[in-house]
Amino acid sequence: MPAYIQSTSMISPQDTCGEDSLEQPRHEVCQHLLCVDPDYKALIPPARLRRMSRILKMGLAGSSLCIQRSPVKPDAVIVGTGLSCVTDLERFMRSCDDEHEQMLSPTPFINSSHNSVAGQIAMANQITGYNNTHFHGVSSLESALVDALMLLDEGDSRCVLVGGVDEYSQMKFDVFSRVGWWRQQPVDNLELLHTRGEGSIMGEGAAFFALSGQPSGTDLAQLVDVTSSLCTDDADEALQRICAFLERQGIALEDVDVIVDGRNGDEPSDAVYEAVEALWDARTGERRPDVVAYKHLCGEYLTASGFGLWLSVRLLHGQHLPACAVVRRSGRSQWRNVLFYNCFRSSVDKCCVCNYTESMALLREV
Amino acid sequence: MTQDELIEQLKNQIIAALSLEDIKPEDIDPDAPLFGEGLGLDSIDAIELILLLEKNYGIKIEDPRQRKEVLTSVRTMAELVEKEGKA
Repeated sequence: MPAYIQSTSMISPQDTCGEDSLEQPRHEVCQHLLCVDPDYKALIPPARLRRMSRILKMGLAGSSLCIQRSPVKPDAVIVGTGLSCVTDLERFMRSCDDEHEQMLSPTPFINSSHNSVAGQIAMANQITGYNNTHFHGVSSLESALVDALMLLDEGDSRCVLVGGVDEYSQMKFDVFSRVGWWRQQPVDNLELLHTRGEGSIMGEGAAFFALSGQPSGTDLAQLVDVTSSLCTDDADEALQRICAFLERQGIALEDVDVIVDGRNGDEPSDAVYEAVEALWDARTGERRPDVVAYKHLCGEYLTASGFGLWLSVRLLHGQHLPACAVVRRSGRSQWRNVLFYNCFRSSVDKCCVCNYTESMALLREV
Repeated sequence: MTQDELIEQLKNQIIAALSLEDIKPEDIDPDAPLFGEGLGLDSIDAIELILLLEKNYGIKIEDPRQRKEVLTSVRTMAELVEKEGKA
């Protein structure tokens, strides 16, 4: 059963809380991108705000915007996060060491658990139903979405708030640098996909979606299906998997109008997207889809797929492709089906499942 | 250090420890209740204030009833610091 997307919100390195923010995308020469902060004081009560770390502010503000925009109030909260409140955890562990496990401040401890974001959202919005947090590396948000689709399918919820949240921290940047995730030299993020090199730039963000099992009349798009599995470097096999995923919904390659893919400037990884899309083109001829990318706008992080899904919804609802995201146009004037396709291939640590994951989502115009 | 100087020092330490970003020392009435009214602090803040006294002045308050009395206002905190000879 598809879910109807009632509202979205996106806090990202682009000014995505504003209108038409992607018409003039922000760019800088960097190794990481930080979010454009909304006015947190307008969205979170001051008494709560003062104790919150960056990720909690992003999560609470993002969820608040999404709930405000939804015609149906969510009765369940599901969050996907790669490393959640690891900055607070780091603070707490450091104070344990510095203070010899004595006189420990409670605030970083309270905020350090993986489910802090989902819990705080529930308390702030009095959402007393199902509450869960998924942390499965790069498929954390996708796992949360699958959970939400199942919950709606079973009729246990009328509207689910689903979010994907991760924050930048120097510690994360340093650790992932050691496994080759980032470019060695700063690069202009808008040039990331056009400059040769290994690794990407780090990002952060909070994406939220209010999903309902029934149409409300003001739905933005449909989330038809989501899946995630281990990656493959074989383009033929990858295309077969895409075909099998689409066939589950009675869709053929020719029916896909846009691919929103997760290329991130890492040359070996991007080469696989290009190989898959070349095979796709060979199968579909003139019915080849438009291709859109997004990680040069938000950076790479474990729930960066949230930005891609937000962009997919925006594209379907507004029927407009922002120029900064276009990889290629194929002359289509209307977009009905969007395939979100993300493969995260760490060339160094392939043995780690969470760093070698493929995910797909099918979204449809309402 | 006079009591007024100690009160000013405590106000600055409280603002830093509790991340009271929008509050300046002059906004805090030394005789106003710290909890409920006044600064409107809560139970987590109470733990932070007990830690503040322990870390900065070496004062340990074991008795829960004494904690409640000491954490009434900034002045009662200052009076304890003076009484313990830690000013």
